[in-house]
Amino acid sequence: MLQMIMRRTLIAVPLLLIVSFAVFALTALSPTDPARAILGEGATPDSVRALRHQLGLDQPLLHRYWTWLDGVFHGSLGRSWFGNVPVGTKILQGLPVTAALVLSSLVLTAIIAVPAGLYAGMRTGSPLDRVASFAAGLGLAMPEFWVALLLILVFSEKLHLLPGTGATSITGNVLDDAKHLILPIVALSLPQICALFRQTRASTALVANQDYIRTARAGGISTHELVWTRVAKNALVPSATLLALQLGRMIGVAAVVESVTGMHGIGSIAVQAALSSDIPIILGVVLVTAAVVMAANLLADIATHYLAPKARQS
Amino acid sequence: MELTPVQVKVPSAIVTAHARPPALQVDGLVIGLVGRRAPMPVVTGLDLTLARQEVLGLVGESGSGKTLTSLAIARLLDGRSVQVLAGTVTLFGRDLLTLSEAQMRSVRGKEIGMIFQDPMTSLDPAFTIGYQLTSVLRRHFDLSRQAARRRAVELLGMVGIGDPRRRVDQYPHQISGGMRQRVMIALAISCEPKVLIADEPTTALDATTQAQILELIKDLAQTLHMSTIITTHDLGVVAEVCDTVAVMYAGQIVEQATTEQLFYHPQHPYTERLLLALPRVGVEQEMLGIPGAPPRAGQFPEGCRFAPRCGHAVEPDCVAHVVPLEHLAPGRTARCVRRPELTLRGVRT
Repeated sequence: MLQMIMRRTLIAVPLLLIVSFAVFALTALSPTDPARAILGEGATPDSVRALRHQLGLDQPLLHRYWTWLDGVFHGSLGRSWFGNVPVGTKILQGLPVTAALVLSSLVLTAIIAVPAGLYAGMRTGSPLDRVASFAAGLGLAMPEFWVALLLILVFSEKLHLLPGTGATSITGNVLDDAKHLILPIVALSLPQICALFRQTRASTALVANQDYIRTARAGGISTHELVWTRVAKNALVPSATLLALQLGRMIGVAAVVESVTGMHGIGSIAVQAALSSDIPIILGVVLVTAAVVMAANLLADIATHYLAPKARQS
Repeated sequence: MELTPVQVKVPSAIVTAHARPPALQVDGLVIGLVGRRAPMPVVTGLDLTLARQEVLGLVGESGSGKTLTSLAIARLLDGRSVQVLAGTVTLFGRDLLTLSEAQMRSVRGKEIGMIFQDPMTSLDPAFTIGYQLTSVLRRHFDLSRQAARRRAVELLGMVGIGDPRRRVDQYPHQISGGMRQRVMIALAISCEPKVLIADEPTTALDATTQAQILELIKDLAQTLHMSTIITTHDLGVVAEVCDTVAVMYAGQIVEQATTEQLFYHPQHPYTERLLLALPRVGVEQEMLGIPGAPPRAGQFPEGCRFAPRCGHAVEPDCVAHVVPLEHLAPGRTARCVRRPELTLRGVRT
C-alpha cells in the first residue's frame, strides 16, 4: 500500500513534466503571436520585436521550457504577462472559488448518485428504476453551460430566489457564499450525477445477481444489510474510479461554468489567459490541475485497494 | 412384483415418520418461470419427504429442476423470474411458504443451511472468510466480535481447514477451490441448522476433493444431527452418502426410495435406465445412454413425461393421462402406470 503510494508519487513527476511540456509546445505552435496579442493591432514591428525579446519568445523552445522549469523547481511559476502579477498569487486567488465549486459538486454527485444507483440497481425494471434511468439519460444529454444559463434564467431572473452571478470570491460568509454557489454547483454536478448514477446502478445490478450475494441471503442476511455491506463494497469499485475521472472533468468544465456565471475561479482565469495568450498563467493552471487530477486518481486507486482485495496482488 | 421388505440400513427416522413430522416435507410444489407471458411451470407437483437425520439424494439431469427445488425450499428464488406457484414446504411441521420475509430470514442459515455448487463464485471476493462467517453468526446469535471470531476459527477447524487462525483473515481468492468449498460448508453449518441442503456440492471439484467433501458432509450431518438433501446428477455420490434417493425427471419426482431399494429394485423405467448407464468396474460393455433428450419446460408431454424415451411405454396407457405419484410405502413412491406389470433391472440383477 505505502509502496504503491510512493511509486505513484514518483511516477507523477515525469508525468507532470510531460504534461507541462506538451502544453508548452502547444502554445508555441499556436498561430497567434503573444507579443502582438499583448500590444494590440496597432503595434509597430519594432515594439513587437522588443516585447518578444523581453518575454524571451525569441529564444528556442527548449531553452524557454528549461528556463520555465528552472523557475518551477525554485518555487516560482513565473509572472503574468499582464499586470506582472506572480502566477502563483493569481492561482491562489482563484483556487478557493474553484475548490468550493468543484469539491461541493463532487460531494453532491457522490451523495446523490451512489445511494440512488444502489437503490435502483437492486430493483432493476421497477417503475422507480425506469423513471430514474430515463431522467439520468436526459440529464446526461444536457451540457453544463446550458444548464447554468437555464438555472439562472429560472431561479434568478424569473423567481428571484438566488443571485444570478456565481461567487467571485469566497468571503467566509457561509450563507452568502452558498447562495452564490448553488446554481453553479447544480449545473456542474447534474451530468456527473447522471453518469455516476448509471455506473453505480449497472454495477449494483450485476453484483446483486452474483452467487455470493445468494450465499449471504442463504445465511439470513437481510437485503438492507446486504446492500450497504456486500453489494456496496463490490459494486462501488468502478464508481470510485469514475468519480476520480469526474473530478478531472469537473475542473475542466468549471472553466465554462465559471465563465457563464461570472465566477473568478482558476477556470475563468485560465479561459482569460488562453484568450489573451498569457502563457505563464496557462502553464501554471495546467500544472496545478494536472497535479490535482493525479492526486484524485491516486485516491481512487487507494479506494480500489480497500474495496477490491483481489486487485491488491497486481 | 412384490416389494421386497426393507432389509438393510433403515434410517430409524423412517420408522418413526408417522409419529413426528419429518424434517422437511414438500407437497405439490409447482415452480414456474414468470415474466411478461403466462407463468410456465418447470417443476410441477413435486412431492418429497426428508426424514429426520437422513441423507436424501435428489437426483436428476441438468435442467430437471433440482437446483430450483432446493432454492425454492429456502425461498431463495429470484422472484422476478422464477416463483413458487403452488404447494407447501413444511419444515418440522411449519409451513415455510406462508412465513413473512423477516421470519424466513431467521430460518435461513439458522434452521436451513445451504451449500452451493460453485465454490469459486459462491464466496464474496471483497470480504475475508472470517467476516463472511461472523456476519452470519452474529445475525443469528447474540455474539461479541471476539466470540464470533473464535467460533469462526473453530468452524474452519471443524471442516478440516489447516491453520484456521491464519485462514480466517484471508480472502477467498487466496485459498484453493476445495478449501473454498470447505469454507462454504463451514458457513452452512455455522449456526447448526437442522436441515442442510447441498446443491451439487462436489460438481465443480476434482475427483479426490469430491470424495473428501462428501465424506465431510456425511460426517458433519451425523455429528450435528442434521437432515440433509444433496442434489446431484451423479449416482455414485448417492451410493456413497445417501440413505434415500428421490429421482427427478422433467420437473417431477418419478421415484423415491431408500438407496438400497433404488439400486436393486428400481420401480421406474427412468431409474432403470440411469442404473444401466452406470459404468461398471471390470465389466466390458458399451456405455448405455438413454436415447433422446428430456423434454423442455413448457413442452412436457401430456401423459408420462418419460414415455417418448421409454422402452416400456405403451399406448394409450402411458400417454393419455397425467401419471400420479404412487405411494407404495412410507418413503417409497413411483410414478409409472405400468409399474405393477414390469420387472425392472437393478444393479447386479
